[in-house]
Amino acid sequence: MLDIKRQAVLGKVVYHLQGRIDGQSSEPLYQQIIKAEAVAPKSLTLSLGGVDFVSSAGIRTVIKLTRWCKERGASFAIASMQTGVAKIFEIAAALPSASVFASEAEADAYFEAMARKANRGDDEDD
Amino acid sequence: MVFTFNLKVKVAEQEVFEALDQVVLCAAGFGIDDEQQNLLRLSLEELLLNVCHHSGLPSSAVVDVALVLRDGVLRLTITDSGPSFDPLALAAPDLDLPIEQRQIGGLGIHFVRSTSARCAWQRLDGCNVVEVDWIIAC
Repeated sequence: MLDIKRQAVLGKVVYHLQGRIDGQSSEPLYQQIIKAEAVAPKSLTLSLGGVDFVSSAGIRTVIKLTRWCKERGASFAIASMQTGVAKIFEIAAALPSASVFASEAEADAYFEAMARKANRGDDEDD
Repeated sequence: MVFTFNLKVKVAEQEVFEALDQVVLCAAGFGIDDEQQNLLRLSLEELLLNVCHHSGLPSSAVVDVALVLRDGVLRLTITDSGPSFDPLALAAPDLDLPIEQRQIGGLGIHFVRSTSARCAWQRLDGCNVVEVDWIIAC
């Protein structure tokens, strides 16, 4: 069982997940996200504070979302992982260090900094 | 004290997920903690879905699942009557590649190997028998 809540603010989308990301819930989760984000967001964050179990199917979904975001120029992050879930990601070596954050606020600050940096780059190009 | 639990599961996804809940609930009854319950669920899901997707058995076929806690060792045994196949012999995925370049498959058995104290396969009486052991802190 997986509960999914979507929050979107100024092109930044956060999915708050609660339950298990397993062989039963992972593909519906992926399909729900890619349908809801027909217009690619600036950033997509999975907030996993309420997730107490991830199987290989869940890891595959994260890998697919990472690719999906990259293809669309969107930033991707994972936030607020519980220790047991983080351990599974570590075993799978599926934690891109630049996009894993202890909290949503930390992820948000990172995306803001990246946006400022990109804007400065644009200004310099002008 | 020895704790044992046996379950017959049809080779169908919905049945597998119901069985996962039953087995994990039983492990909780054995006194297994949440972290170990999750490792059990992880291996059980991978191994049972492997039989569902790759054994060629019809959905009416049955897999035997046994859970035994004895002398600080929790042993999961899964027995299926499909063609001879050792899932534990599958090559490990290349974890050095960036995740964007990874092959999607192969992680499940990697988890079984990495999170258990011992795992083994044998062909016995025309069946595949997979055993996975964890050491339980008492």
